Amino acid sequence: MKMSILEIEYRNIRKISNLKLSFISPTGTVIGNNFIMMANGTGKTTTMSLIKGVFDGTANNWDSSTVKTYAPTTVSSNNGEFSIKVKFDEKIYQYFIVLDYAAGTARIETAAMPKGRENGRILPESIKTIFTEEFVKRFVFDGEQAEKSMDSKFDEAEQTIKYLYRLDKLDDILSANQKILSEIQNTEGGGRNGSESALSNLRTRRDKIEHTIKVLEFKANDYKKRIEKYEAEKADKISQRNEIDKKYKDLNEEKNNINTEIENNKKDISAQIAEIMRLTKSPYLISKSLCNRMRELGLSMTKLKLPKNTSKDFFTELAHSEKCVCDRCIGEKEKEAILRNAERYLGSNQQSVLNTIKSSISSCEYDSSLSEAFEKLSELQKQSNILNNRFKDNEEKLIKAGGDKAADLQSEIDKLIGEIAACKKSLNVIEAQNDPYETLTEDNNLPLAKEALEELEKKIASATNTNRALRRKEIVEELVNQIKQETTKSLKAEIVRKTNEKLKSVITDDKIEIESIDKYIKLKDRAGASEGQTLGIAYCFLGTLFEDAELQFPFIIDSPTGKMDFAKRQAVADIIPNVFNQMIAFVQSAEVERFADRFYSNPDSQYITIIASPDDEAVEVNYGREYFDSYQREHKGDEE
Amino acid sequence: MHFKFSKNAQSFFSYIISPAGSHGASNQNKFEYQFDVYYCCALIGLAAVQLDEDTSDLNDLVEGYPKKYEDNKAQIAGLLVATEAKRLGVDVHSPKLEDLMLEYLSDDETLLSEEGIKKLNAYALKGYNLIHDYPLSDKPTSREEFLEAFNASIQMYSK
Repeated sequence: MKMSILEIEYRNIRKISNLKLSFISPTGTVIGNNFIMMANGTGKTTTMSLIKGVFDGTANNWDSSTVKTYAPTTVSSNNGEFSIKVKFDEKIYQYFIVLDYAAGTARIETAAMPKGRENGRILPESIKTIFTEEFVKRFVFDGEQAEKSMDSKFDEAEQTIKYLYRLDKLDDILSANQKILSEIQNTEGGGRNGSESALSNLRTRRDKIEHTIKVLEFKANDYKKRIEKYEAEKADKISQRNEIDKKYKDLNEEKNNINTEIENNKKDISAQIAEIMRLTKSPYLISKSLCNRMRELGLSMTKLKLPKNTSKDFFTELAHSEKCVCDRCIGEKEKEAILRNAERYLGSNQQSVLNTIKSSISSCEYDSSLSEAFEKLSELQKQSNILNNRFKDNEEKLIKAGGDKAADLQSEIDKLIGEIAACKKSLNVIEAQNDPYETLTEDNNLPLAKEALEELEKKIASATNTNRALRRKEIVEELVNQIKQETTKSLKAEIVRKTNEKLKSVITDDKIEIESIDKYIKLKDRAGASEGQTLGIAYCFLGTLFEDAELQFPFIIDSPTGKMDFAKRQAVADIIPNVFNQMIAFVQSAEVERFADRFYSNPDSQYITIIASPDDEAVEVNYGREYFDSYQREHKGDEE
Repeated sequence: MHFKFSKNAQSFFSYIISPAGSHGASNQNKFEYQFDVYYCCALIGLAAVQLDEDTSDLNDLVEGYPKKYEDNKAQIAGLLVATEAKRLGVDVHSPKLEDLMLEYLSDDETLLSEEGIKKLNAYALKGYNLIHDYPLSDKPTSREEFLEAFNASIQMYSK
């Protein structure tokens, strides 16, 4: 199935009173490469949120304050509408978000031939279940998403593979399998060993625990969403605070300096920890007493001539010879005695082990390198404390200078930090495998609830003679889990291989290779990558995923090159058209050079520039490459 | 044979170690391997010449040494034998030393026999108990906090 975007239309949304953007050429074909330059404040972020909201269906749940953020700023109106026209293969669907600013509500409507506008988000049957909030983020993409793929706090990379290759369907099989067993256990047939009331009691407990599992899964999901939402809000508030701080040049400069020093200090601490761990691997450096203990053992081995030169192997061989080395005959009696006494000697492989150990410990020499490394770490930590105090002082001064607004923002940031911590704590209680510091029970902890369910199923099976069904269910469960595991493993290996191939052409100035995808993308021999490199890795990763998927999607992206250097931009510009059937990129003027301009000679491209009118701030649209190019030249550097 | 670590210890160090089975984390606040923390705890137990052979709370950690420890496996095995000799009062100059070596060593990849690995696990468990008693009464939140406590434990418990 192929999906393309044909048109976007806005009515009374922020600074836009009426605007239609078309992605169809005069000959009626879908345009492959679309670049939209939206000047600051003309609605780039708003557009991305609206597209996400309509595709993943979350617009239906927007709260009143979210809806009101879309209210027009240049005209007065209580209603607004955003629509997006999409082609799924040959069928056209148009989706609307109808915004009622007075009531603070939003609802999605769909128009698809032959029917007129209907309430709700109606999708083609084949992709009905795919368009979840998580999945939509894969093709309505922003830089933040790229960073998450590299961050071990999130399992973005794993989730992307799961959704795109529909491995989540295997979970449906597991649920159906569970349901079938419950139905069998609930049927009246089959001989029973337990009394009716005992069985009924077991079933009630099982139903209760099944319900608990559903509730806990829902809660865990909710906490994860809330954490994500609060993190985004926090980032936004921090950026607003940074804007205020910029007004107080000296203090802001000091803040930036402290932040740089803090970053450097963190790097130094990390390097020092790596050095300590390297030294610690040699146990004789831990302390003089340990070193002496090891050396004494080495010396004793030398004194005792361990391992002995004669090996068990020699005597075993000798026992099977006709004559001894002294030329006497070896009969059965002698053979038996030699074999028995051979046990007192070491085999050649054991000798080799002892020799290895002897040589490695005899040369142990304690020195102060590890204790000096610990001292240096302690120094760095002291510096870290000083820097943190300086940061706090500076922050207090900045808040004082920034007045109520800065203080309010800071208090909102602190509140969000508290909310995030609280959500993480609650999530930990639900998901923890084992945490002695939390009181975990089957009512508040998923692993325990699942364990309890398994136990109850066994008891019910035994009481209803449905052991066979339970065993079959377990076999299916094991098989499906095995398929899931094997498929994921093979897919990951192939994805890592192909992504690394692409990376070689995108990042040429540094050796970056993906080692594995284990929930997140882990790089080989390095802890992280720069912002530009992270975006490059994310594109190569997404590119590999989408090029092999059966479903073809458009790629809608905000600030596609971010802080990428020119070489990487060029490489990314070459990759994207080969991977996605359509690209709609919201670019900043600084992103034209070596990215958007790489498409100037491609006839399947269009350029749209959206600016705010100097008279009334209402937006104006300009189509065409010339305007786009000259605008970017004049305004390069306006944005950060 | 797996190196095993206490479930309580895994939970106690959860802020500074990656989830079980995970080999490495991009998160710079965590140790690359759970084994790193296991090994430090084992060193504390070995330095103190104290072990705890309770196996009721042990979880499989890893089979064989992580690659980064491969070069030091002979020294670790030597330290284990030397410490056991000290704990059991075996005169290292007597032929009994050879018996002890045969009990704890093998030509396995780790150079340790099953009994040897069991003993190292027991030293790691005791090391965890010691560092948790003092100076780490609360869950460590950073690697540097853990290493500082590790260093203090070695100074304090060394015999």
